Amino acid sequence: MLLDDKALDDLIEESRDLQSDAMRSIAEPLGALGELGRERRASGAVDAEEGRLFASQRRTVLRNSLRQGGKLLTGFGVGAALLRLLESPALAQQPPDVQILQTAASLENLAVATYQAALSLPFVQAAPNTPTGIGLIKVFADTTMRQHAEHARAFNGAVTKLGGREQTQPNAVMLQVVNRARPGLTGPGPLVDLALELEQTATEDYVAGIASLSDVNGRTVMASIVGVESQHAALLRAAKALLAADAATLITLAPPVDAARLPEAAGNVGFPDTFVGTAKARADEEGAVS
Amino acid sequence: MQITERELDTLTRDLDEMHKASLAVLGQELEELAEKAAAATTTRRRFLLAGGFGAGAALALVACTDDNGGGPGAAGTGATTTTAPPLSDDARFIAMSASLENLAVATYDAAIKAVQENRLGGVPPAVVRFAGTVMRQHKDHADAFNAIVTRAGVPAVTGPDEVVKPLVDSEFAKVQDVAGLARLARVLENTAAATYQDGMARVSDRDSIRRLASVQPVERQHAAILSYILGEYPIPDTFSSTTKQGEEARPASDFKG
Repeated sequence: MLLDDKALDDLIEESRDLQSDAMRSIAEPLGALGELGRERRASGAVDAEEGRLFASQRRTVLRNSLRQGGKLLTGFGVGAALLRLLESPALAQQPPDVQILQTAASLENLAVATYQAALSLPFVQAAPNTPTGIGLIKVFADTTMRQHAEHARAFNGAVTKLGGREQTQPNAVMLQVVNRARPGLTGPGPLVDLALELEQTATEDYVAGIASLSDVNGRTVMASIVGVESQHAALLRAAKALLAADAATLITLAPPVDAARLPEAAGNVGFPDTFVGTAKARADEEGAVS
Repeated sequence: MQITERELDTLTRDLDEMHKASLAVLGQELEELAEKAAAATTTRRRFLLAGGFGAGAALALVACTDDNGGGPGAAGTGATTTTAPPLSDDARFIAMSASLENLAVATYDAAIKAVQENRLGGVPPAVVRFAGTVMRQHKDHADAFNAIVTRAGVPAVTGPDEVVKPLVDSEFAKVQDVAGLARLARVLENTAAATYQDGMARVSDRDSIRRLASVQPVERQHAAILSYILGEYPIPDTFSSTTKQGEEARPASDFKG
């Protein structure tokens, strides 16, 4: 067999060039990957802009691989399908931390809407503006609604810091719970029950979220809120117990409650759990928006 | 150039083998990179141990002395003093948390004794029920924190927070009624809660974060009920703080273990 030496040399040279180009092209994303990891470990937070850049570069590399190196796959249609997948929103879904925080914001939005609706109920509107009995429940609803609005803002602030979109809607799944309860909200008992369900759900969701979040800022925000929701729940339990004991007059701050008149059980009804569980925690993606 | 097909096949095979050998090197290096990344993840054992600190070494706890017959110090449990290698930051934090719970248990125990000895005037049954339940919950919290610490063979923390204890002893000696007791208890609850809240952002170990998150809200609930008994709005803060004056988060560095 006769080979053209020059042609063979040219082929070898071309092969060497292709190899060098390939090594050069991988060096930059590898370096970026390493830098990203170092930054994340140093600060505990993901640089959102670099994350998007990396994800974009990764998809570009994969696309190019499919187009150039995967002609066989493309020929069978698999490559084309993979390319479509790469472009789809499903594969570009939010990171878990963003989803967790968006779901938290959705729970806060629901709480705001629910307390707002509660304040418009006839028996609540008719209550005196004094911190006693139903009046105190009215004060509680108003104050708590404002607190939840601040919580929603804080969670959304943490979301946008991670490059996610604000969640401005109420949690769709828990909204159904509220809507089912609305016709029965004819007195303080059912209202307290509904509010307690929302507060306890939020508390347990945030306990779960704190344990799951990688983003330190998100965890800090959630840690500053979980205790407040748990306090809402504690007071609602106390109110529920007093209402059930036909002792609404003991739901009072002005004048301060006469502790001697409190039923003994009122002493610990507010905190039945030694450790807050997470059975009511919502799925991470439940309130996510892309 | 003359080359036989057989020679060309041989050269091609050699080239292929060289290529595969280079991939093997790359594969090995990638494995090492992955191992390094995995090693950077904090394991429970890693967070508990620091720089050669082996399992079975004892925490260095200063024995708690009691020179106040009626105060929380009377219920404090001392521990032997030993020299131990330094704890990791996470371990020190959880140990500090256990010591805070021990202090709370001791304080509520002393309060219940004061009630039984009629040293605080009339105390409503609901308040006695509150104190008894809360004391038991704090004992369970201490046990839970100690479970994390002892899982690596480190002895449980049985003494109270030694920096805060003298302050609590001093304040307890001044308590004359339920209101005074409630205010002191609320400071303890909020200080513990602030400490655990701080820990959730500071600690690396996931189990520890989970435990802190499950305990902190309960301490806040205790505080809210105490505020209610005191006639104050129970939830005045939209966001709970770790730096509120007089109720600041405890620094783990104060734990001399």
